[in-house]
Amino acid sequence: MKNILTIARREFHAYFGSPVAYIAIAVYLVLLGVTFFFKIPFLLPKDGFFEAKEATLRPMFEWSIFLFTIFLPAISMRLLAEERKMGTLEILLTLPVTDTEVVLGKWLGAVGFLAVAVALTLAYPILVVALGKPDVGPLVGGYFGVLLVGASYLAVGLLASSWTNSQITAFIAAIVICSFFTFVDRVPEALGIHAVEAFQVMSFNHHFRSIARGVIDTRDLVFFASVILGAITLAGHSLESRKWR
Amino acid sequence: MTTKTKSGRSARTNAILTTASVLGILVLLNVIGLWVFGRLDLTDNRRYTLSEVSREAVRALDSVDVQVFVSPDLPPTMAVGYGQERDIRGVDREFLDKLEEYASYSGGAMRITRVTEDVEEKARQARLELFTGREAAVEGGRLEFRKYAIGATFQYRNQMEVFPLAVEPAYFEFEITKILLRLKEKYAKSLGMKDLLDAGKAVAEAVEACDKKVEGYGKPGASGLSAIVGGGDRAGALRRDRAEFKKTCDQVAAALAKADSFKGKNEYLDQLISSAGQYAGLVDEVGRRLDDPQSRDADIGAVLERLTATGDLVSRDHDTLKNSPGRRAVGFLCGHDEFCPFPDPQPLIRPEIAGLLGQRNPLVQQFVGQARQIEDQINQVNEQIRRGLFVRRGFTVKRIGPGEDIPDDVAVLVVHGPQKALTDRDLYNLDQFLLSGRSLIVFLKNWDVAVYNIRKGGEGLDFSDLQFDDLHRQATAANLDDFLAHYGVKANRDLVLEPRSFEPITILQVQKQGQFTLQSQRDFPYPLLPTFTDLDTSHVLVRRLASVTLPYVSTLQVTDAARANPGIEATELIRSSDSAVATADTLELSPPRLLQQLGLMQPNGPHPVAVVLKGAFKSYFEGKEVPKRPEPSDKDDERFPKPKPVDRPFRAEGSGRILVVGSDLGLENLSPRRVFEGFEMSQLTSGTADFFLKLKDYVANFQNWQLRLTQVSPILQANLDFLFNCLDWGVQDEALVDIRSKGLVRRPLETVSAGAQTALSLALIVGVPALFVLGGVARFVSRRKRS
Repeated sequence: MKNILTIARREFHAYFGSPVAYIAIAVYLVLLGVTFFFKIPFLLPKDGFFEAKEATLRPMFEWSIFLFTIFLPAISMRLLAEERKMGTLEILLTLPVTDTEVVLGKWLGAVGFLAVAVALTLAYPILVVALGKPDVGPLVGGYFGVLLVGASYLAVGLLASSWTNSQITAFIAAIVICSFFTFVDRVPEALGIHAVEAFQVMSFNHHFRSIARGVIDTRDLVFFASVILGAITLAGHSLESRKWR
Repeated sequence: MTTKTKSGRSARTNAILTTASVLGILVLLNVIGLWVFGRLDLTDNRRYTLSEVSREAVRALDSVDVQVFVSPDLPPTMAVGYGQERDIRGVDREFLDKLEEYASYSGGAMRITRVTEDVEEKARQARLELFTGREAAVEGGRLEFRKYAIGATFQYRNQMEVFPLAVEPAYFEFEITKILLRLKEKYAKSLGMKDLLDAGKAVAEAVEACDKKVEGYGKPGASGLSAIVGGGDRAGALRRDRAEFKKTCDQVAAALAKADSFKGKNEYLDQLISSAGQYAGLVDEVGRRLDDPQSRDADIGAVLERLTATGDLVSRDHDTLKNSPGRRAVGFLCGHDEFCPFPDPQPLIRPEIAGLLGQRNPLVQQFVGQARQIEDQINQVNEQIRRGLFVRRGFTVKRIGPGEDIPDDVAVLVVHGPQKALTDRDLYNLDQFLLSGRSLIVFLKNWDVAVYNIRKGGEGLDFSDLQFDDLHRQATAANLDDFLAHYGVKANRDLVLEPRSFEPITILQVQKQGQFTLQSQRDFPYPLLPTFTDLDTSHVLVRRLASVTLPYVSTLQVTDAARANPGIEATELIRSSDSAVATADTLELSPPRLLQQLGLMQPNGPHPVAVVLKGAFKSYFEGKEVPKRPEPSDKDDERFPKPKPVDRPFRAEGSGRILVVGSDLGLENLSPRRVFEGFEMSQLTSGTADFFLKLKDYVANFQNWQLRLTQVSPILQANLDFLFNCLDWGVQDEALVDIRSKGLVRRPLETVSAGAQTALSLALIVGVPALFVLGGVARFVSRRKRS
């Protein structure tokens, strides 16, 4: 556990040691603000926060999930791919740490970064509480759901990063996988076929919606835990595979 | 080398096996999780958790069989009218989850089975409401849209209730608990009505047997051209099977003879006897036509079709009778320009007179044709409101005409925004109703506010020359003030404006561009649609609500006498804020000007705008002469017989409940008589064409009703839910009010000025990221300095 935390801390500081993290988070916050407050015909057809006059953060959470499909793969692409390209991965693995500890530590460091980005949106609930009487359940559930989805994206991004030396390839692979699992519940509709439960069960969005209502359901927790554990296990497996190649 | 390869292979195999095992376990956990799960409901009002009332309702039944009908390939959305669609993804899962939750509290008494084959057909037979999808297929030479089912039937002993369409998860608990409570009550009450129900059942079964016999002769339309000319094949089959037909269908008359002994004891059985009587008459007619050698097959076919249609009517009436035990009705007072969700029982122009006049004057004929069209449309809208809003939600609603006695099964009477004075007899009926221990609900409409209504007059009958009327308000002629004050509620003739929390008004805008007239809608902030958040949450009616928006609301006051009376419990249910303004002065009704005017007014809140009184009241008519019943009018339509008046002793005092709300919730009267205001039959015979020129005014009246409804459309759904809550409270189902409220909490924002909105948006969009980046820059600089 100590090793995991050490790697996580190193990874977390690495993010904030360069301007990239600040720029990425600032862009995320600006885009989130625009989508939350404004109604733009064709692009953002739903009413903005002040027009809808509803004391809820539901739209902000939904936009967060959407933005995360691009934003988090961009953060996670470097986790292993960069180390592999620079040759520092081998050095890291010669240290007395297991592959699993490396993978878990890197993922935790990225989750720390995610937590900072999400924490910077806390001004929104303050605004909502100041102007109305929101239901606290969906607010807590929404934040919890956003963190779970984000952590899952990061795990998927880590997995993609473990497959290749190229950050761009890892980035694209992570976007494709995250987008698929996020919007898979809409696939039947887009293809003109009817909803099949399996599509919903696989969808990040479906499970997120359930939590964002303010209901913590073990089925949703098991789903996200499975995605994270599954992706981390596969990433560990991918690292380990260098031993027999 | 070989050893290394072997160990590499072994490590690889181990790694693959471990990874596969972990993934397999994760998949398995997810699959198991579908059946074994737990939930933590974090919502304020435990919206997604079964309430104690629901748990008790299911525990109170020793055996319930639930049959669930869910189409296996539900579409992702369903049409909800006016081009809008509702997302129903995952609704089936939520519905099944909810039922499972009930079953888990039933101690094994609730059994759930899912219908898996021919779901839609079986659902139709079980009287579920199917909805139409977007997918169409050609069936029998016609393009048919696919229908889908999602609902359930609940069977308790010999009683059944149906959840016809389960697509709103927020109301699942309310609907299911309502069904469970109703099943228990229905069963208990039906025991005391057994003979009567058996008689009705015998009649319905006889009709059903006859119907089946007739169906055996072929379906209309099934035999090609012969069906078009009158069902010759059916008649031929009937002629060959005549003896059997007679033997089977004569049972209807026999069953009717037995049921006749119960006539007058139950209005629903009377209705069934009446429709079955029509059916028996048609059976006789078939017999006579068969006896008549001159009778054509086409004529017999036509009678058979009427027979089948009447059979459907009998079946519906029997359903109503079966469902009647313990049912408590909601009465709506009508005839004073109040919201009255019923078709008008009296036609505006009697058909026989219209026919006579039309023969003489083609202009009258044209007028009558168009007037009837409008009248039919109005009646259809009212019928849709009655069925769609009330019957579908399980309320039995009754129209109480002016001066009419209120039937015993009416548990709650609604007086919804009368604009004309009630007669003394009406007030007497209300008074005696209240003192009999029942609930009276009064929604006031003290002001008729017209904002951008369509101007009357003009020449053409189309609306290409649409112009808006001056904005105005006028006091209505309602006369409930003294009556309500007698019990303890003083209604003030003012209007409330909330400066900080209100809903927008939706205004129709018309722009002329060349030959084209473009119509669009735009929302404007409007403080005359105030939102109130000061609710007495100790009262079940608003316990779970966060706010209520009441359009054009007047203030109320609990009188000193009522406050001082220990026998009366008065609750100020909804109050305005401290910064509210209540005024009887002239108001600028144009949205921007009203806001300006409001800025100059002195706040004088808080004011109560909804009040509940409960306790022992004295009669308003104590010491006064009892007003006489109105004489039967020769205009009364014999198709709609009125209940026979029964003289009851005068009640000088009694206990009851009265709810007064200072607004009509945005629900306005729509009736042919109001739309055709000022029209008299004598105008048709006056020799002038004035009546025809007025036609456009009548159309404008109808359009204005729609316009006003649109203006308050953003708040209408919430207000309807509030109305349903009031009705449930009125029929003493307070537990249900509590559950329903869970699904309808609106959480409005305080109104913020445009400048403040911009400032707040910029602070969050630019300010927070900028601060964060500046923090990062500062960190870099300090680190550089240190290094």
